[in-house]
Amino acid sequence: MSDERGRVLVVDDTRLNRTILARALETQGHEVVEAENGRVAMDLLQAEGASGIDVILLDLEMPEMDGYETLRRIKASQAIGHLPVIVISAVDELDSVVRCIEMGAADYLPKPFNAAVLRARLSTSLAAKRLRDLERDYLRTIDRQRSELARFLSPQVAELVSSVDGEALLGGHRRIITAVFSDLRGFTAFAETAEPEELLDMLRDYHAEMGALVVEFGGTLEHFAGDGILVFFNDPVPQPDHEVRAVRMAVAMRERFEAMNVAWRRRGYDLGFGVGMAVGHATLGRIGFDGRYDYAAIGTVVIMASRLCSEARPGQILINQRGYSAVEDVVYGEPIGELALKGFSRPVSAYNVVGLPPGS
Amino acid sequence: MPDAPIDAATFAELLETVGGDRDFLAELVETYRADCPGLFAELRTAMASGDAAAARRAAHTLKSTSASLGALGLAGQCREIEAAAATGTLVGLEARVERAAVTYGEVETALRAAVIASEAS
Repeated sequence: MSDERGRVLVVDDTRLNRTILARALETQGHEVVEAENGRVAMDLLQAEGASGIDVILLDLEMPEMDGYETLRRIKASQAIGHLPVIVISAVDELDSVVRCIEMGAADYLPKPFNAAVLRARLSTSLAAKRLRDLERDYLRTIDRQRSELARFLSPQVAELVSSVDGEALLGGHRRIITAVFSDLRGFTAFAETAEPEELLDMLRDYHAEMGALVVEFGGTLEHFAGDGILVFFNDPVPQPDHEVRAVRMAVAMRERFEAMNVAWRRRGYDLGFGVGMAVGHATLGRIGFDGRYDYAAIGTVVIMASRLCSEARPGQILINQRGYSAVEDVVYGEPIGELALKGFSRPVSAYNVVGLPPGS
Repeated sequence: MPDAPIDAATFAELLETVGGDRDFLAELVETYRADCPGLFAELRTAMASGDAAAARRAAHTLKSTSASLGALGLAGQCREIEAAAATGTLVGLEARVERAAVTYGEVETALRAAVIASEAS
């Protein structure tokens, strides 16, 4: 038998019976709280909260508030409804016991009391209560970790970490993705002259606005680095339309930037917005070391998006050939010829996205 | 001895339930002996005033505490009074209450003897 110790609320209007039960429970190592009727018990439970009491021993026949009403109120309560209630019952009241079990009582204790029966009943109910408390604590921890995680990771990655097949995906895999890299022209100069508070305020606003768009279009945010933002699509959640999502997000980002830039220009900031987008194979998974891992995309597609971003003039969204062919039906674009990109042996054909057709 | 005022097995079990503490058991008996006359008084008052609910409650408490101490015969008598009062009518219950009071006298004597015996053992 398990050696559970608990805090037990004894509800009985008969002083003698309360005294016997209290002594019996204390002899078995429990802590006892007494109440002489249901109303006193409910007041006590409300004052102590669910954490104060482990098990309730409840007599049925009581003045003011009887056992049935007390049981009903306990079971109807969100806060204490889970507490195990053991009904105290004389042998001639077995009908009442059935009724109470139907109302949610966990067990019953026959009168006159017997030490071994009391021990067994309490032990069972306490074990159930402990399991339930443990379960609740675990669920709270998981919830907290999940919401903390979601603050640091993109929602898709946070989901992945706590999903069943997450480990395999985190371990590393290859997939075609669309990578979108954006940054601000003139940001370095701005950062050198701006007050730190002004710089951080401006970045916070910028990240908040751009972050909202990443979420809206279902992108996986790999990282913010100052003004630079790397987002990829089609991973970890597959997206059949990943190229289109990506280009729409890029256009929305450009529009959002223009709206923010009105105020910034008034304050004398001289900033421009550029995007590079590329489609191609990447290796995705967990990189880093014990203590700090990131979910990252590695491959020429990421480097190409970054290089195209560097080439983009303010307001331009530059896409590689493979990306453009996937989206040319849904955007207005123009070829800008072949670009010699650092790290790429051959020139790369690139296109600029002018805009989306009205109503798209 | 099924007709003994105090059931020896229940009384022994009670001693075990309270952890074998004989002094505590003696206190319980004292509490019971202190409470019972008042409960009988309540019962008689309720009878006289026709208050069935009060009669039922007093009988219930007498039944419950008597059973705890092993006074099973008295508990049975009180159970019948309780059940009768629960129907809302007290007609003809006076005689039963007085019979229960006589039984209580026997129970009280037997309890004192049982306490002395348990302390001596």
